[in-house]
Order: sequence, then C-alpha cells, then structure tokens
Amino acid sequence: MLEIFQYGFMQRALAAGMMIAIICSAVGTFIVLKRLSMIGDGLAHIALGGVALGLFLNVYPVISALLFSVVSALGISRLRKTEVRGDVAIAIFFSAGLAVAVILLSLANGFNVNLFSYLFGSILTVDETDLQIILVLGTLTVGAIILFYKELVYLTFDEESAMVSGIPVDKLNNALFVLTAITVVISIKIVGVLLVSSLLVVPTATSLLIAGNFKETILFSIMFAVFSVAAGLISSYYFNIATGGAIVFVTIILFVMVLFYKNTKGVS
Amino acid sequence: MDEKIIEITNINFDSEGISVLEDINLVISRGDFLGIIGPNGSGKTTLLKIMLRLIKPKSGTVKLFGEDIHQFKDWHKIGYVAQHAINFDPNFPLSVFEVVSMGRFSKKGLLKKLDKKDFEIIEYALETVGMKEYRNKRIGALSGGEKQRVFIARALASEPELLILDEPTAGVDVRVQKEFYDFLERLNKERKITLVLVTHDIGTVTSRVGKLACMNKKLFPECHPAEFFTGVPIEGMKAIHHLHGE
Repeated sequence: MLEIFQYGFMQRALAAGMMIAIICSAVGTFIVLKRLSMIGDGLAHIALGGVALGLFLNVYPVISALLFSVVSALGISRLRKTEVRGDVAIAIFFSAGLAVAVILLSLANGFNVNLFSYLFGSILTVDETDLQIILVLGTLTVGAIILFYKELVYLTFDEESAMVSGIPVDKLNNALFVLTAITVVISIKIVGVLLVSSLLVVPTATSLLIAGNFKETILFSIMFAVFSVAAGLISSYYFNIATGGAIVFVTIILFVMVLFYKNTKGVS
Repeated sequence: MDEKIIEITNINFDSEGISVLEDINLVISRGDFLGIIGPNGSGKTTLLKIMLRLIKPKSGTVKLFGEDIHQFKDWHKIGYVAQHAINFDPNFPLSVFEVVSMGRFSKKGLLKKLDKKDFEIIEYALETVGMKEYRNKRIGALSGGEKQRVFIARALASEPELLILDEPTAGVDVRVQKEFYDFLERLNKERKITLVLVTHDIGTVTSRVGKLACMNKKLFPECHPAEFFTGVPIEGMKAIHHLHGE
C-alpha cells in the first residue's frame, strides 16, 4: 500500500499535509476555546480575495492572500473591541474579501482553473515553493505557540484575570489572530478555502470530547488531524476523490466515532 | 504610619452619561481586611476594576503600593478573584492544577517555564484551600464552592500581598460561607495578606471583616459594623436603606 509514497508528489503532499495538520490543530485549540470557530472560515474567504488579486496581478497568490488575511485578522481583532461584536466583525471582513474576489474574477472574465485549486484545495499539486512556505511559516507558528503557551492558555480561559496578572492580553490576542491568518493561508492549498476551517475546528472538537486538560486537548487534536490527513490522502488516491473533501470527511467520521464511544461508555 | 497599599483619590466614572461613581476616596493600609458592601449596581465592581486598571476612570488617580497605577508593574503582588469567576464554560479542558499554575505566570514573566519551586508553591496553594486531592480533576466537574477555592488558590499562588475578592460567596451555601470567612481571617492574620472583599450580601460579612465601607455611587468609609445597626451618620444610613430596600 505504501508504494504510493514512492511518487515525489505524494511525498510532498504527505509532508505538507502533516505540517498543516499540526499547525491547524494547535492554533485551532485556542480558536475553538475562545469561541471563535468561525474566524477560520472568515479569514479563508478573505484570503480568497487575496488569491484572486494575486492571480489577477500575476504575483504568487499565497503572498497576496497572506497580506489580505493578516491585515484583516488585525482588523477583526480591533473591531471586536469596539461596539461591534466578534461574529459581526468576522462577517464584515468575510464579505469584503469575497466581494473583492468576485469583482476581480469578473474583471478577469470568469473562472480560472487555478482559482479552483485554491477553492477546493489540491494537495497533489503542492510544489517545492509551497512546501518551503509551509515549512517556514508553520515552524514560526508552532514556535510562537510554544513560546507563549502559558500566557495563551491563561487568556483563552480568563482574559480579565490574565490582564490583572500583567499579561499583555491585547498584544497576544492580536498575535493569535495573525497566527490564525497565517495558518489559514498556508492550509488553503491543501484543503481549500471552503474546508480550511473544518481542519481548524473539527479535530479540536473531537479532542474536547475526551481530553481532561489543556495539554491533552492539543495533543489529541494533533493526533486526530494527522490521522485524518494521512487517511484522507491515501483514500483520495485510491478512490480518485478530492483530497480536501476526503481529509475533512475523515475528521467528521472520527468526531462521530468518539462521540459514540463517549456516550456508550457514559451509559455503561 | 501604616503603609498605604491602595490610595484612591477623587475617582469619578460615568457610563453612557450616567454617573456610576462619584468622588470616591479610599485608603487601604497593609493588613486591612476591608469589606465593601452595597446593592447591585452601586458601582462596587466598577471600583474594583478601576483599582485593577481594567477600566479607566473619568477622573481621579489610583496608587498601588505607593506607585501610580500606570507605572505599576508588580502585578504579582495582587491576587484577584472576579465576580463571575466560577461561571466559565464547564467543558473547558483545564485541570485544577493547570488553573492554579496560572497564578505563577505573572511572577514568572513571558517566555519562562515554571520550575520546581513554582510547582511547590502551586501545591502549597492547593493545600491551603484543601483541594490537593482534586489536582488532576477537570475544573468544570467541581461544585461551585470547590471552584471558588481553586480560584482563590490561583490568586494565592502568585504569593500576593493584596487579595481582592468580588462577591466570593455568591453561589456558595451558608455552611461553606462560614468556613470561608474563617479561612480569610487566617490569611489576613497569619499570612498578613491585605484583603478587600466586595459583596451585596450583608449577612455574614458585617461581623467578619475588620473595616466596612458602604457604597452607593459614593463611598462611605468607616461605617463600622457596630454602628451599622445603631446610631449611624445620616449618609451611611442612606446607604443602609438602599441595601435593605433591595
């Protein structure tokens, strides 16, 4: 069965997929627990605007997508501190990103095959540049989370007390939003705009069903995500189905299985 | 002269044009056990939040440990248990130990990991509140009173010189409340921790704290428990009427 990993494109796909799985679940744990599950979806659609601009101007779309979503992440972070609620702030930026994408598409005279690969993800076309970007930004993201782990846990649980104990809550919140934006953009190539937030949210949701503390939550979430990416990748190859869809479908199956396990265990 | 731990001068605060705090002046000295009582909406929590730099006042100044609040850096000297601390998401995946360890973060500073000494202090804080055997339990699985003790352990883990408690007995039954005040008394007398406690419940608190201040937009300091039910200054009386009218 492992002969499929003899192919270079499969090796790159697996390497990229594993990195994405780890980053998404690490960042996703904080996002889900801050009750900001929809931010991944919002930032992904904003990134689509950036991708469209990149394709339109003929620059590497990941760069323009990063610019769009990082700036928007800071904007959302700022807006939710005013009278605008967090979910509304996300919706506003989400709409703006999508509007830009649609306008640019119409200017470019309709859909473009390349854009489709960002919309639905195409793990099998991951090239060396993509892999390097994922590696660099992914390491940066995981590194930042490890460095500020204890402060991030504190402010995720109890922002007010974290503030009183002198933790720079606003700065770290901004940093977390920027890390989420980076995570979303580098994951788009793998699972696509439409499914990226699933990879951010579902493994953590599954992990929360059984984890007893914070460390376990992150650890289990990473395990579920890594397994989903591997299983999704392999099955997409053998059944000739879209990789992003296959990966997310596996995460959902895991969620249902763990939920079922927990409930039957609870009854007995 | 007693060392001033908190010095509040001429604090005013408005919310959407409505006055919440009017010309508050208050000095808390080292070793005090101060209870601030007042009805709901009398501005008690707002005052605490101003003391903790969570809210900016419209005017006036706050000094903590002799230093202007904007220059103050030693936040680990202050332990704070918020009003609705125990009303968090019950499924939040944190063990009791993880919650209490947060109390060490301010002393530790950014980028530094907790070490053996920190863990000893965390264990000691857990022991102080009698929650050591619960250390690996999920925080959401505890009862209201147990959660409250964990949050106090978290505040104690920073080895504070000042402990600020906002409605700490809300949702805790009367029997536990008595034990709780005994416990606070010990912290105050044996560990010399300065205590500030805010509550709208005038039952037990009046007989247990060292000093009592009444609050209703304005602060009436030194309304002593004994005076409370007998001859009281007119201003203090107004505040009491508000309390009973609740």
